[in-house]
Amino acid sequence: MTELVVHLYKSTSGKLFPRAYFFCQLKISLVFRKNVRHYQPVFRGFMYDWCLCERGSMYLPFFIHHQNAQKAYLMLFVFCLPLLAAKSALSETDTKRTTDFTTYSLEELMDMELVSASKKSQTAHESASAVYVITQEDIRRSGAVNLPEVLRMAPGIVVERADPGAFAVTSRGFLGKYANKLLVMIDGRSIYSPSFSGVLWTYNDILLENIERIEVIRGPGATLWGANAVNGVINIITKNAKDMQGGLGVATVSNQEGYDGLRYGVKLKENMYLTAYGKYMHFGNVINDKFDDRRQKNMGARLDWDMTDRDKLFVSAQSYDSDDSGRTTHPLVLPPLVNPEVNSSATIRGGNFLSRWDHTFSPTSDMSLKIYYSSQKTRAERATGYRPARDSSDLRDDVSRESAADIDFQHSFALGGSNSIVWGCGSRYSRLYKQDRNFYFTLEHETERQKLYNFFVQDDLVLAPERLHLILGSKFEYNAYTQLEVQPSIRLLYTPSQNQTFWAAVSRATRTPSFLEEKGRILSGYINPGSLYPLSPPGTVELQSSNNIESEDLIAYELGHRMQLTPRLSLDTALFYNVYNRLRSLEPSAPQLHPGYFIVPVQADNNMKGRTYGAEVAANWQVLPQWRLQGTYSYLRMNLKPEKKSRDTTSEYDEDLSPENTFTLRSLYSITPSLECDISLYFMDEIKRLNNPSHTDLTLRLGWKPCKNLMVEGIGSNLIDNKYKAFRDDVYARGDNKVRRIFYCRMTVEF
Amino acid sequence: MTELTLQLKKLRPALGVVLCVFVWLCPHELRAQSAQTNEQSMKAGFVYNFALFAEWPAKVFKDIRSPLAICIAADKATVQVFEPLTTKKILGRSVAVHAFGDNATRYPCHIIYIDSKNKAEAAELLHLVSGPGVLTIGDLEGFCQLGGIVNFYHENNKLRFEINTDAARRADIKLSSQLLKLAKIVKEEKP
Repeated sequence: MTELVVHLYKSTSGKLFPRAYFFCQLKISLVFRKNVRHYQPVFRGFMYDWCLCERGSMYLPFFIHHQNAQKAYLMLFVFCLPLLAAKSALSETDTKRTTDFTTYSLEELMDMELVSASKKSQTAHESASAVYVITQEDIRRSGAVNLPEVLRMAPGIVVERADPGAFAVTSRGFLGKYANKLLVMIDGRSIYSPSFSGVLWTYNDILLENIERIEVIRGPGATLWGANAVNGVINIITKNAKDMQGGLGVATVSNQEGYDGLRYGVKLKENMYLTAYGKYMHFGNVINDKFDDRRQKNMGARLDWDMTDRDKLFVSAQSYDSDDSGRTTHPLVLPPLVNPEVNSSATIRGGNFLSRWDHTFSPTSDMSLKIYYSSQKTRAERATGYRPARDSSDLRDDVSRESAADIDFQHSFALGGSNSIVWGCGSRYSRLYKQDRNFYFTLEHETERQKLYNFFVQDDLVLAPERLHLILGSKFEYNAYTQLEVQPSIRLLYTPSQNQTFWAAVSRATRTPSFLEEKGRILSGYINPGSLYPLSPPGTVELQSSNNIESEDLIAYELGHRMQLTPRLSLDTALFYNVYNRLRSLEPSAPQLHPGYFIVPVQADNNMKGRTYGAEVAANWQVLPQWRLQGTYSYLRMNLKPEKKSRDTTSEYDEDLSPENTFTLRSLYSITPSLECDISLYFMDEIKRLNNPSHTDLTLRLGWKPCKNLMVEGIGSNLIDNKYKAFRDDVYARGDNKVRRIFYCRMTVEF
Repeated sequence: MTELTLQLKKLRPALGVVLCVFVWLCPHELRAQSAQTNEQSMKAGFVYNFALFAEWPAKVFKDIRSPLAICIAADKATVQVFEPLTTKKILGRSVAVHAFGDNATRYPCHIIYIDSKNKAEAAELLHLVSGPGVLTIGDLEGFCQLGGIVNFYHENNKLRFEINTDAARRADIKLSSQLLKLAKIVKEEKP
C-alpha cells in the first residue's frame, strides 16, 4: 500500500520575557492512502508543539497530540483551504483586557480597537427587565467547558446534570430535562424544539470561544421574543467574524469529558470577514459508568460583510453530528414491562443556516431581516416496546426528523421626540416527521406540520427625559392549534440618578403545546403489581395527546432595582410573582385491562394552576483592580394545585422538582497579568421530589498566559461533593447517575 | 449651646439617612472613565514605541546613563496611566515620567505628550516646550500643522498617528523609517 503524507505547519514565535523565547507550531498531517483505484485522504490528526527556550541554553518542549478529531478537522481543513489561499491580510485584535500595552509592537497597537463604554453595563442598566450579561471573559474564567454549565453563574437559572451529556436547565422554576418554559436563541435563531417543547442543549453546542456574550433575561420576554419565552430568554450572541481573525486552537485533556476546537478567520476583502470553526466534544462517563461515550462534532462558518456604512450582512451555517452509545432500558408495553438493559446507539445529525440583513435608515431608525432554517435527523436503535429486547439485535431503527424555517422582520424608529417604536412580523413553519409508528412514542400522522404567524409592536415612551420611561407592547401570534395568542406587557423604568434604576413590569406569556402534546402518544411509567387492587397485574401508563389542549398561560408581576453603590460595587435585585393558569395536567382514565397487564391512559389537559414567587440578587464587586467578586442568590417558592375537576394526583408534586435556594460565589483574581486564579462556588438546595440532597460544587481554575498567544489552564470541577446524585426525572434515564469530579487541562493557542 | 446639641441629636438619624441617600445617589462616571483609561494606556504603549524608534541628539542627555524624561501635560489620572513606563529601559536609559505643570522647567523633557483638545492651549504649550531634542506628541486635529511632531487620530475606532517630518528635523530628532512607514506624513501649512 502506498501512502502520500503531507504535513502542513503553521508556526509562531515570540518573546516571553527577557532572554526567554517561545516557539509554537501547529502541524496538520494529511495522509493519502492508495485504495484499490484512487488515493483516499485519511486524516491523521493534528499536533501542537511548542517550546520555551532561553536562546541557546535551555529547551523545554511540550507536545499535545490529537488523533481523535479526525473527521471534523478534515472537513474544516478542506473548507479552509481556499480561504488560506485567498488570505490577503491577517489582523489580530486583542482588546480583551487592559494589559500592559508597552509589550505590543506599533503594528499590533495600530490594529487594536478602542474599547467603548462597556455594553454590559449599558444594556443591563437601561433595561426594564431582569437581565444578566455573561461576557466572554466570564465564560473563559468560569472554567466551564460546555454551554449549560456557563449559565450557572446567572441568578435565577438552575442547571443540573441529567444524563451523560444532557442537562436540565431552567429559569424561575419548573426544572426538568425537558424544561419547557425557557426560550434559548443563538444569534436570534431559536433552538427551542417545538416537537417536545424544550431545548436540546447537547446538540446545540458551539465553540465557547466564539461567544461574545450571553444575555440571560429572567421572566417573560414574550412581547419581543414570542411564545414559549415564559420564564426566561437566553440570548447567545457570537462574535463578529471581524473579531475572530487569525487562528485559534483549543485542546483539553481531561479525566472525563472535554473538547478540542480549531478556528480560523480571514479577511476576504475590505469590510468582509469570514471565520470557520470545528469542535470535537466527547462526554465521558462523568455521571454513569455504563454509559460508553457520546462524541460530537460541530462545525460552522460565519461571514460578516459591512456592505455599505448602512448595510450589514451576516450569514452563518453550522452542522453537527453526534454519536452516543450506552446501555439503556426502555419500558415494554407487555409484561414484564421493563426491558433488560441493552446496548443501543443513536446518531443525531443536524444543521442550520442563518442570514441576517441590517439596514440603518438614520441614526434613530433601522431594520433587520432574518431568515433561518434548521433541521435535525435522529436515528436511534430502540426497543419497540412490544417485545422484549434482550440484545441489540432486538432493537430497531427509529428515525425522526424535525425541521423549521423562519423569517422575521423588525423595524425600529423614533416618533416625535419621546417615542421609540419597534415593530415586526414573522412567520415560522415547523415540521416533525417520524418514520415508524410502532414505537412507544408515536405521532398521530407520520408528519406533523405547524405554521405560525406573528406581529408585535412595542413603544418606549419617555415620560420624563432620562428619568421615566413607559414601555408598552404586545405580541400577536397565530397558530393553528391554539389560534390567536395575545401577549402584552407593560413596563416602567425609573432612573432617579445615573447609578440607580427601578423598574416594574406586568406581562403575559404563553407556552404553546408541543407536537407530542397535540398529536403524540408516549408509553411511560411502570405500575407495580398489586397497586391497583389486591393481586392486580403490573401495568403501564400511556400518555395521550389531546386535540383540545390549550396554551399554558402566565401573568407575571415583577419588580427590580439596580444600583451602582460605589464605582466598584453594584447590586441587582429582582422580585417576581407569577400566576400560572391552564398548566398541563395529566388526567388518568379507567385502566384498560389486558390479559396479564393493564394500561392506564393518561390524557394531557390544562387543569393545573400555580403560583410562584421569589427573589434574585446579583452583586459584582471589584475589590481591587486585579480582584473581582461576583455573587448571586436566588430564592424560589412554587405552589401548584390541580383544578377541582382534575383527577391528576401527581403533577402538583412537580413543585418540589426545583431547588428553593441557589447560591453562587465567584472570585476572579489576577495574581499577575499573566497568572489568574479563579474560584467558583455553586450551591444548590435539595430537590425533594427526587430525594436529591443539597450539594455544593467548587470549581477551581488556574490560568497561565506565558505569552500573548498562549494560555494554559488547569481546571478542577465539582471538587467538594464527589458523586452527588444527578437529576433524573424521566423513565428513560440510564442507571443511577452520580456526578463525579472532573479535571481538565486546557490549552489555547492563537496564531 | 445645649439646645443646639439636643437638636443635632434629634437630627442624627435623619442625617444618617440623608448621608446614605447622598452616597447612593452620588453620580459616578466609572464607565466612561474606564474606556478613557484604556485609550490612554494604549497611547502609553505608543509613546513607549516612539521612544524606541527615535534618536535624540547626544547633547540633550547629561551622560550615557541619564534617564529619558517623558513629560505628560494632562490630568492626574492620565499621568498615572503613563507611570508604568518608568519600569522600562530604552537603549540602556531608565525612563522618568513627570507631570508637566508649573514646575516643569525643573526637568528637561525629551518627550512631551500634550493631552489637550483646546487648540489655543496646545499651541501655547507647543510654543513653550518646542526646541531641539523635544519630541512633541499631541492628540488634537491639526496638531502637526501647529508645529507638533506626532499626533494621534482615530480611524475605524483604531488609534493612528501622523508625523510632521519637518518639525522632527527642526527638533533634530531622527525618526526611524519603520516608524515613518506606519505613520501618515503631514506637511506644515505654509504661512
